[in-house]
Amino acid sequence: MNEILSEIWNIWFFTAVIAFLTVYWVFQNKQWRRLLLLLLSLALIATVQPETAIALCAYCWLVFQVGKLLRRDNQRYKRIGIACISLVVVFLVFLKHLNVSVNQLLEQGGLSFTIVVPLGISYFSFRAIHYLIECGRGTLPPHTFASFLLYLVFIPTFPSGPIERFEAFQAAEPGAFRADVFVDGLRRVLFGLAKKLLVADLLLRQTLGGLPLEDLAQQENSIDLLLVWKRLILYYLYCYFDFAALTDLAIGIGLLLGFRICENFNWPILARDLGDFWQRWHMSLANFCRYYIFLYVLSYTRRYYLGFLCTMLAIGLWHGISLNWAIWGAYHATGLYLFLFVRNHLSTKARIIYDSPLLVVPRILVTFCFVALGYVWVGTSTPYQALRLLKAAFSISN
Amino acid sequence: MHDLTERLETVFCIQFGYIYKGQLTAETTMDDIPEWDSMSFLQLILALENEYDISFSPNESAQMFTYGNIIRILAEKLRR
Repeated sequence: MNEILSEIWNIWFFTAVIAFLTVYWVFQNKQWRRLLLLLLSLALIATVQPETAIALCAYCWLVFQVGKLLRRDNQRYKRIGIACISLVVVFLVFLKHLNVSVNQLLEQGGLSFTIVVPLGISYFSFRAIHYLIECGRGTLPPHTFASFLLYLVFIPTFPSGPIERFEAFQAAEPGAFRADVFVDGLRRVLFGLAKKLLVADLLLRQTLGGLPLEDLAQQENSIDLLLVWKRLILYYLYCYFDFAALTDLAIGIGLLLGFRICENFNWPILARDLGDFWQRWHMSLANFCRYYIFLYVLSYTRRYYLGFLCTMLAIGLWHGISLNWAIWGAYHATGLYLFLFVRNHLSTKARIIYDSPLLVVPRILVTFCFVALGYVWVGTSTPYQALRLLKAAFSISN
Repeated sequence: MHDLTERLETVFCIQFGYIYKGQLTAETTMDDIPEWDSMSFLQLILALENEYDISFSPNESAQMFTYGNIIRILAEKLRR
């Protein structure tokens, strides 16, 4: 995302945006506007990765055709639907995570061909899976291929989400120009830019330096407890502000185009418990995994821990296929299970004390520290480095 | 249908509190009721299975995250 920002965010880009918005809002016809947005989205993707723009059109067409079959007769075409979802997952895993090793093999074999990771693949893959599942369930309103293509390549949400639901996206398609929505969008874009450039990049990134946790874990001397916690907290805050700023930009640009996109963050750093945290952090991904993974695993196995484990492993591995991300998933799954199990088994009296305003701040602090501590797995590349930091985080003698 | 929704609302209120009486619509989802979380999801399914003396398939229960879906699945199930 940072590369895209630096590549396209210049004076010409802003001039083009103003020109585009003027033309866009001059059109009264929804279909023309949709076409214009589609062309803009594909053109912007093509300026960064031309091959992705072409491949995406073919990809969307295939998913749309399978969706059409599923809407016609879910039972008859169920296997085709499952095969298509599996294909989307295989594409995601292969292109996002295995491309490095495949490229090395191609190079060793003397081939000049290299595999490019398509922009926004994690997001459009999950949107495609959501679309196919809902087509099978028959819950989607009637729509055209252009609407579906726009849903997948809509430029504000294409590079870094949120993962909007298809029916919500369709319902959000704007009618007449509304000045208040436009001003809201402008405000949100400025807010996002300030958050990204001032708080995330200037304040937190500068303080942290290059690889704050990995550098610390590779340090030969013993690691200072306070330094570990300071870096963990700053790294967590950096990740939050950086990602939340990108969401602000997506929502803001969406509003400038008249689309009200779903929120993705609701001050997760103020979450009162881990359950609350997952309702505030990357909400669109958490909801996707809750509805399409957790509820399925729970319904099939009727075992809560298995449900949490599969869901959090999927979220972890969605970020990156590595042992560290898998352990991060298991860490959150265990935390969630223990927390919800204990909370649901509290006596009435204990529940009143737990919910009392006096415990709000301690609960926020405990949740914050739990999540920040999980970053030992995110900010390092091997479990050994993570365990070293984890040990240092609890070594008072240091 | 009226009986079904009334009985369903009672099961809901026993599980999540009587403050939701008269508040539930087909559009109500897990996001709208804080007590209807990941942990109580299964409890609700079990309560419905007990109440109606039926059992839901995994595919059916996985879709029961909106009040509207529950009404639809229950109605289909009871019609058979």
